[in-house]
Amino acid sequence: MARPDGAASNRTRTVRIGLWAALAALGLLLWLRCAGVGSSARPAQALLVNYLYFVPLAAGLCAWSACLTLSKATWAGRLETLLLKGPGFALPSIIALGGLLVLNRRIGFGAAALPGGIWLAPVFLLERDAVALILFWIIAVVFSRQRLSGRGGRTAGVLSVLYVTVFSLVGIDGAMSLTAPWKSTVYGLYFAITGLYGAIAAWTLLCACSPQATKKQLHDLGKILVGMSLLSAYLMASQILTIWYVNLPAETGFLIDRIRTMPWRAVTVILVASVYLGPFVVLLPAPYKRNRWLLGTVAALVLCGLWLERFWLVAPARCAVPVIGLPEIAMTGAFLGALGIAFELTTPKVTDFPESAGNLNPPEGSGL
Amino acid sequence: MTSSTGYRSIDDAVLGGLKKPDRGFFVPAVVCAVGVGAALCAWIYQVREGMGVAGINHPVGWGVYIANYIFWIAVAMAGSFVSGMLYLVRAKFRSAVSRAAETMTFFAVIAAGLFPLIHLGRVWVFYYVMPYPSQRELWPNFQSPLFWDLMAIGSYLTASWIFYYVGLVPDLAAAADHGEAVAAIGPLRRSLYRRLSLNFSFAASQWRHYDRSYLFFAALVTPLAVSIHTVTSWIFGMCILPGWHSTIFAPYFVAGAVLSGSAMCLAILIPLRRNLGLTSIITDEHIAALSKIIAAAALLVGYTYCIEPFAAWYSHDTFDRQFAAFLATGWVAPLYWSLGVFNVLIPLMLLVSRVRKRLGLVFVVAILINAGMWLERVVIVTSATAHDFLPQNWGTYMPRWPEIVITLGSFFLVFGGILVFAKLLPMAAIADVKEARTPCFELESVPSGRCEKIPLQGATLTAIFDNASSMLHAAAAVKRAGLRKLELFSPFPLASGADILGQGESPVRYWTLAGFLLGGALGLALGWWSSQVNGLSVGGKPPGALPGLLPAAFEFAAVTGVLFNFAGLIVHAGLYKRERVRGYDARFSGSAFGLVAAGTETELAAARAAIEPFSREIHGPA
Repeated sequence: MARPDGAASNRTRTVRIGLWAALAALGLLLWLRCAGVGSSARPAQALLVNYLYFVPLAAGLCAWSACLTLSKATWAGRLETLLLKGPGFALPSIIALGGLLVLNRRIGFGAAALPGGIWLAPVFLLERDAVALILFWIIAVVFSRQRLSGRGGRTAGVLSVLYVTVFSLVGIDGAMSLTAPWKSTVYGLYFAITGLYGAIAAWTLLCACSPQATKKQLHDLGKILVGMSLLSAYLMASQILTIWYVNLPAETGFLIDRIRTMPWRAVTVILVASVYLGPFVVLLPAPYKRNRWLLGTVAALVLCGLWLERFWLVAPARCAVPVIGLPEIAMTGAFLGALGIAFELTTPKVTDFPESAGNLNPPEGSGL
Repeated sequence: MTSSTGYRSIDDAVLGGLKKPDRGFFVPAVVCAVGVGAALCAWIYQVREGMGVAGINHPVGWGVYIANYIFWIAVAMAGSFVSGMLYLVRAKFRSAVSRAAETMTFFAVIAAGLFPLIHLGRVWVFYYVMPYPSQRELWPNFQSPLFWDLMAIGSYLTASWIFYYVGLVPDLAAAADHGEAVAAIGPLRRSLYRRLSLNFSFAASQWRHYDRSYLFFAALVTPLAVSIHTVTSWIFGMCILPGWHSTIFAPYFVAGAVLSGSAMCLAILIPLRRNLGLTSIITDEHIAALSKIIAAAALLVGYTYCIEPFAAWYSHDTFDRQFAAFLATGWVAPLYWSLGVFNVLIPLMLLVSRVRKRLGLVFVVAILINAGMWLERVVIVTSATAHDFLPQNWGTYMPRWPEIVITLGSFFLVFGGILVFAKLLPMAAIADVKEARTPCFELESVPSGRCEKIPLQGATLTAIFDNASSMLHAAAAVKRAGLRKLELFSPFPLASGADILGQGESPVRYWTLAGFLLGGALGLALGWWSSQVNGLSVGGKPPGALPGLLPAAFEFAAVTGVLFNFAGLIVHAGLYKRERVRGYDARFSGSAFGLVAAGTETELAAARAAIEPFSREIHGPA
């Protein structure tokens, strides 16, 4: 028999699902309205930006769980169940990819720039991404189930490798191909790592909002957030400094579009402050990492900054001025709503997490 | 582990390695000395005859000397990276392997630093690259990757040696105290150990600064380690040659360095732990943990091996495609294809737990990885210049005997150096191993208030304890009894000890921050000012362009931060003093814990009453 507080909790959950669904439906309707008027590229671009932002983020949640499994980390305890909600976003991510397939001509992947480059033909490009993505989600679902029963070591290894491979491909196909034949060998790795960065920021935000997270756990999350900000900054600096130094006309377009000219230059400055160096500077003192409010705020800023970063990767190829209007906001709302629904509907609830997961619970007296 | 017997066994195992060397030491030592001597002769021959005796010639101007430089820099980087990074993430297995890794760094950085000089030919003009105005008022170009590399080597050498030395301080003190009993170390050597240990006393008031300072060393040495190999990669990445110019080179080189350095660390650890009797300290689990790091690094290296030809194909770049085809089918092809086997497939064998358990096999894998990584450096360095944009300019490269002898000599130098240090210095971090094997615990309540230092005069009470828990409970009881002149001693840092003394956070952090900011500002200012003196626009970059100044400024900042951190530690922990902290007992560096209290006779009587339930050995006024 359900306890009364359980019934109240179910009601609250139903209300939350309703709110997320309303947000998703409203966003989708507004976006469809924008997409239906004329043949503007912006709605399709908004879909691409949000696809490149939300899908690596949701998939990154599973990848973090795999990393914890591989490193036999025990500090996260039951907070890890939040990560296992990631596979709930599998269906929306495939639907979004279908949307991109429909609108691929409006986006203009780089096939036109490379005559004969059949690997850049939009349909082939998106279809191979779909295959890779489906494969990733299947393994992610298998891993989640195994993890909940205290297993999953080998699948965690496969999932980690698959994450970097699949999302390198998604980054190269989805963002780098827009500026073909421009290339950067670090681009795919950077894209995958920033996906993980977004995932850890989302997890940190959720944990900061959860009373179950202890200060020690928040401290550890803060450390990882700082580490990921430095790693992302390092990879981007490796790309930018190399291109700047060598100064080849075929390569410098990436920098000229984003860094040299206003108003994109201002966006770059915002990214440095919110994504690359800001979290490191703000969260450097240990007490700040233990402060729930501050850590949550920084994580939220990182999430906003990373959305802007995806926009910054995609949009300068098509528009000289950054414009964020109804198509972008509506599509972001639709994706956010879908993510919210996926999170609410995906089991397990925290209380269902089995004790048999073993190493998720720190040993007595270990000080962890 | 909480018992004194357990701590004593760690002392016995680690310090036991310092016993007088036997034939098993002298035979390889003599072989190494002969190898280094032969390399020295070959170098002298090369200097006398000129660089023509080496195989490097047009179009391949960089050969195995530069490949050796990258190889040893990678090994050097990995030593500090493994030690520093694992310290930052609080990985407990670090304690057993860090000393060997840092010792490897100590000699690898020497070997690495020698090769640019050897490659220079006229070695006596090396000072041209130093940041000072020559007689022609011509400064080195702060925006050149070669200059960044010089700064990186200098900074890294300084920082890694200080990091190594600071880690040794408590262990040298322990060797001075217990070396005679455990390893029959003579008085002269023990006196040297004591001087080198700066009279470290294992007092909580010192551990407070030491622990914080060591954290900052790790926090500075780790990015420095990454930066040195990043900068090395940019020597190639910032050229326009296909095969060299690639944006992924920085993370690729760092991953490769972790792979080869960790493998080298394993190749050293496996025979070392057997010969020094350290099997109880450096266990199979430690070897397995390092093996997993190697496998992870191999995956990243494998990723970069795939992405290079993939990007060439994807972008349809003519030159990149022809270079990829050259690697796959040209004269370098056998080496190129072997890289995937040596550096990806063979390391991935370590993912299999049965392989990890067979140490002989792990040793062979580690050696093969190092062979593969050395070949990789040769391929990177020689292939791009041998096959550039102009087909008329294409050529080949084959090393000659001076290059081979000098290359082998560098291995003898590093292995010989490690062999000698293994007999002179503790090859496992004693204090760290003890700390790692002690379960963490915290007192339920710590009495508030700040304790004062023990005065140089007046009556004191000393209590000896078998374990940390008893000492901390006794200290809390003494503090509750109203005594405020208190000092605690422990063989390793105890966070709760610092909490009880209530002395707050160590001010060493301000020293480090000040040093870092000052060094960064100085580096930027010097780079900008010298570029204005020369006023040259190099490669389209205007004098004083900020991005080009940042790498050298970072090296300046990090090394100054390290130096200031070290100075802060010396000042605040009182390591400049000639005497140890009052109340110190040689047992505190081994297996015992101590509490020293000072006060009036009444206060000490109250303290004794508070301590008695926890300790059976109390000295002082009754």
